[in-house]
Amino acid sequence: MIRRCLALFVVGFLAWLVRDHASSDPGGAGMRAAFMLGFILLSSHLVGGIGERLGLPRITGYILTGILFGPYAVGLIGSEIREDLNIFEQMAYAFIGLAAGSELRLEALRKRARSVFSLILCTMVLVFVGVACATWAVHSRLPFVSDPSFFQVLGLCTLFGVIATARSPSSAIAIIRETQSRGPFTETLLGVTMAVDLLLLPLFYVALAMLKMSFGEGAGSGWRPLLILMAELLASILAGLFVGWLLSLYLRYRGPKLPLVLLGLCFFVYKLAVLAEAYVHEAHGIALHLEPLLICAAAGFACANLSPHGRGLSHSMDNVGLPVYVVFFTLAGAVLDMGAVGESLFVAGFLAVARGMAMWGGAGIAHRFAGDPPSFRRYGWMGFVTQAGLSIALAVQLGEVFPVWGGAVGSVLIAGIALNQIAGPVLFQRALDGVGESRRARKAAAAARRER
Amino acid sequence: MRSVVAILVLAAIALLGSRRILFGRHVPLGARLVFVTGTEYLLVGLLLGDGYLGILDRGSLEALQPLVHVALGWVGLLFGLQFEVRKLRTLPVGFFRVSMIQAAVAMVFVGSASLPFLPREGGGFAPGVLLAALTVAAAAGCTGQSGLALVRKEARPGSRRLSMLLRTVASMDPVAGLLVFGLAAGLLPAAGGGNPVQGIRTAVLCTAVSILMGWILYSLCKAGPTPSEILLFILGTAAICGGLSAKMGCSTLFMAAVCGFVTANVCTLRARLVRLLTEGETFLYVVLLVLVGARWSMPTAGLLALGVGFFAVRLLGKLVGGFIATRPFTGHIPVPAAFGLGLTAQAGMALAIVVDYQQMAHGGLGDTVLTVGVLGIVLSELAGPSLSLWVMRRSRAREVGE
Repeated sequence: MIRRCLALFVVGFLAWLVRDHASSDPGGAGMRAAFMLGFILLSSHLVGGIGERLGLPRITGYILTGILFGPYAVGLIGSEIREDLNIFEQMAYAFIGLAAGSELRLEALRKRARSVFSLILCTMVLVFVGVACATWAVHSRLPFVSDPSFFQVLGLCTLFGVIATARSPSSAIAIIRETQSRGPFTETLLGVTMAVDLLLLPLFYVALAMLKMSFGEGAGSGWRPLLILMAELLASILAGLFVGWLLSLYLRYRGPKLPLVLLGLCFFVYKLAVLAEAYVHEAHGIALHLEPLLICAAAGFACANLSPHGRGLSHSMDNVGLPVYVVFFTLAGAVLDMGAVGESLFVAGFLAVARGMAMWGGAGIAHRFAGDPPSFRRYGWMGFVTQAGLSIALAVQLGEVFPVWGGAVGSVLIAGIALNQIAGPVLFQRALDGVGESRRARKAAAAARRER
Repeated sequence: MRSVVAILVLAAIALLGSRRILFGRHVPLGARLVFVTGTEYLLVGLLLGDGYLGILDRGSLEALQPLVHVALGWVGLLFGLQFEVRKLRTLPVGFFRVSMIQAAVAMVFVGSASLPFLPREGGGFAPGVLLAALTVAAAAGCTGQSGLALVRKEARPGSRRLSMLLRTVASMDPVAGLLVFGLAAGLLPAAGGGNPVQGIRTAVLCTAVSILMGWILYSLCKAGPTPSEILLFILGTAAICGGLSAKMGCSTLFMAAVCGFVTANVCTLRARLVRLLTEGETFLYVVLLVLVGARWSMPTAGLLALGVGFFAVRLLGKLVGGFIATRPFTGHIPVPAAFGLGLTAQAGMALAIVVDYQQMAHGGLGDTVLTVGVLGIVLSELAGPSLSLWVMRRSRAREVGE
């Protein structure tokens, strides 16, 4: 432990020395980014290790490292560093999508279809209603417009409710990989998490359109994005299936340097999405955004389920996954403004608790309806608490659409997401241990059997 | 649309490579060379770069710049980790001497030949210009092992000892190149005027920080890490070495190599580290080649001539150096007079040295050194295996004759 702390201190000291290096130097940004990449990898691993000794999941340690060294605390990982490392963050996002897709087994999902559908339905409905009601209860404490109309409050509550239904596939896959969990509970959690994020986007645009209408803005401007969004989702999935087919061919012919190909693929998917967006905008004047996470998730899913060599994909991703998760979650932690959390702790905490309770109720009903074992009913909700990337992106979008008050209300939302992001992984790990699907739980069960 | 074409081209290349149609049957050495030496990745980079498809445009290259630093750090770490003092002591001193002498002669040849082509300031050379000359010289001193590996199977019993000498020399002589380049990079700033005291201070500070990084890597490895954790440590250390060296104005390769050397001699996980670094080396080497290719613009006739000149002078230097260095051995091993030609292959460390220099000296001179260096390296890689094979056959013929 002392050695770890000492190493962390040395790495931190070196980062402090490099921090002020002028980025205007030729290659200065590249050098700074390289250094910070190394700093993030080593320091997050060290903090994650310390957290693990305290019983926390490693990704909580990575997120805490981001918060600690982020712009709102020590300030080593500032916004300029995030900009420098943006390409790696995007690649990591695509990589996580690929990993999540490759974990979803069609056969297993088919077997657990009843559980999956009831969980999607119950948790989404209950969380939506629960958080919308909770928002109504505290709307007067929100930095919203003064003297809002009934429909304006209703629109805002709807939007809060929709954003609250978001989960975090990236966190889910990282914890599943970290704890080496496998089994029906794990597969159900991942399947539900992925599906909910897919359904969330259209719902968000519907809610946003409603809120805009309550402010007297035309519905036309609200519905058109919805249609474009559907086209985006469809195009992303189709592109993903094509990429998955290519990948399965590569695996079939036992192509060399698979980890390199996978990382290269993530870069190309990210880059292609950007280029396609620019091309469609230039040629047809439409802002069509292909989602790299969705493309890669569809690719991973297609490859794992349509190719008999899908296992090779999963194994290769395991080999290079750790650095990707470390960078991604540390940068995700660096975004969290703990100052804002402090300022709106009461409202954010109240909404987070309401969401957790609704999740508990929804998951409990769903598991009971599907006839799942009691341990599923007891721990199921814990796997859906984590929120991350997508919910933050939606909260930020609120500020862009409603510049007068959207930023302030968005920061309350982000504060709530931060609480869920910190508590979520701990609960997720507890759920996997409780159900007995984590490696640690399996080992403990095996040891107990031997003793008997 | 060009991007989609590029993706399809890349997918086709990958699938073609994965079928191994080129390697499954007996294919002439010449055809294998283009694929084994990595020249194709340079061409892929060129195709993806701004000059043609524009996928790896300037913005992307800037954003991916940290990867170059990481790749250089990785190469340096791997190189340093191979030098465990305990094991080095078991090698014949004579082999080491041959390595150093022939590398030194090749460096002197290429370094002196490059001076007339470099810009002068008031009758002398600026420190940055001298560094360019020393970089080219250091790259010339290095021998690549890939070329020798390619013809190893063809080494007949009569030339086994010579083959071993060639391989040992090829694995040791990058030390000379790296030492010259690393110390020169610390002492002579790539840009601006040189202050000897500051240069010495930079070199000492750079070495001290490298030792510190070696200690950190050792500390991290003490906890019995998993393979993916080791990968993380290596990536982290390589990236930090890359970033710190740029900040301190010294060579990434040198810094990482010192860090690797320290770790090699204190860490019990040395073998695991080396195995993982070796597995990933090809990976990062490909990345480096693609990024260098993307940054590369088609050389002008003048630069092409300089590249060919670099190759020719280096060949001459290796020939003379090899001849001088191996004279004491002729009684024990059938070493032909043209022994030095067997050390023509270059690649790995030489490429890393010119890329490292380019990172330090952005713009004109850096790009020129990179272009000339890469041209020379490609030519050396293409000619190397055939020349090594020729030297081995000569040795065998000589032994049979005796």
